[in-house]
Amino acid sequence: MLVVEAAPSLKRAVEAWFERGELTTTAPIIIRVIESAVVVPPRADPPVNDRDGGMIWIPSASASSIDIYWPERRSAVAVDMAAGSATITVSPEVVREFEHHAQWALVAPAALLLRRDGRFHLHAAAARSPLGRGWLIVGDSASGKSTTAAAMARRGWVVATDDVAFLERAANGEAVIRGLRSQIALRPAGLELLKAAGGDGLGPRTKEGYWPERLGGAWEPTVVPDVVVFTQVSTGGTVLERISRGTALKGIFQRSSWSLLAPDRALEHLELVRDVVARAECFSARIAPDLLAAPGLFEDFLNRSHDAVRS
Amino acid sequence: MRFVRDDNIRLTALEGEGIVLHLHERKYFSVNETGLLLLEELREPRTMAELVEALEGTYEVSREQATATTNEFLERCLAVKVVLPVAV
Repeated sequence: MLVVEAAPSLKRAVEAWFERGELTTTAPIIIRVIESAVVVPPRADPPVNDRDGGMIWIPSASASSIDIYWPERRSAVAVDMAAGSATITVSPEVVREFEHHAQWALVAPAALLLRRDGRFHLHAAAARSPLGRGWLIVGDSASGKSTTAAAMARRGWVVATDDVAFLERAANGEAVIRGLRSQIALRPAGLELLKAAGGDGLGPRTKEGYWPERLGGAWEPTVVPDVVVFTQVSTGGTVLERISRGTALKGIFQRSSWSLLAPDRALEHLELVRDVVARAECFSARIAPDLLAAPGLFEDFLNRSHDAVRS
Repeated sequence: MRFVRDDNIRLTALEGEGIVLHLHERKYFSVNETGLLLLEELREPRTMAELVEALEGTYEVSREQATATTNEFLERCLAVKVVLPVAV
């Protein structure tokens, strides 16, 4: 259940973001959005910096509340874990185009509050091939996740998400990836590689958005990964290398560092990561422009991991 | 002197590599197979000599190598409060 307390236009934008993302919750979530020309940075001693997002995280001593501050956007959110509420304070510039800012402003508090529902955020893309093989594509910003997901959608794959994934336990006990339904956001380099045009402008960001269906793919909420790939962009040739499951376990957890801001469910989070990795074949991929430019190379990329899964 | 794992430690492992969560310190660490073995031993208070024996009994290593590895591991764990000293 979602309760939004905000001015009417902001309330509509927040509700639309949760509805579009298909983020249903069982535990009540309260989101308040306040406009303020002056956003005072929360005090942090020492500050906790997110490694991938320009955010500063400040947990309380008891971990019952967590403050997040975006210096460049002059915005902040105070998350009360016990109450299940988040109070987001945003600048007038952000309010003017809130529907374009909703993604960054809402992902972080949603990720913290959804832990109460047993959903654990992971910065990753997730997709499933027409033959039913699930992929989890893990990487930092600008590591090729969205471009790869878009290329998969063009081949008729299900794309659950290109950026915001949640680990959760399915009813049968299986660890699965739930995707936030949102547009695949392509940067100029990805647009050029895919020769894509006519996407939806994603506000102040220089990205264009494509729903998976528009690229020829589909969206479904969950994927069970058979393949875990860590991506990074390379200027050389594309290289796919197998890595150990232990390395993959560490790699995913390193990208879940905020799990320890609210340590009460950190072990549950870690065990979900372990269960995902334990059933998958794991790879590291350096993705270069040749992946999509050279005829057949992307198919070879997909098939090589497929062969590894079968062997 | 004996040593023991802090009660706030949780760990999981896969194919010989592990993640250690320190819930109180809100930190996590990665450990290799040797570290996992020592942390399993340290569920109960252990002396340095007992830890060295555990390594020697599992791996084909000399006493000197096992001692050096255990020393280094303990020093690191004590520094981040994953392991605590216990007075005998």
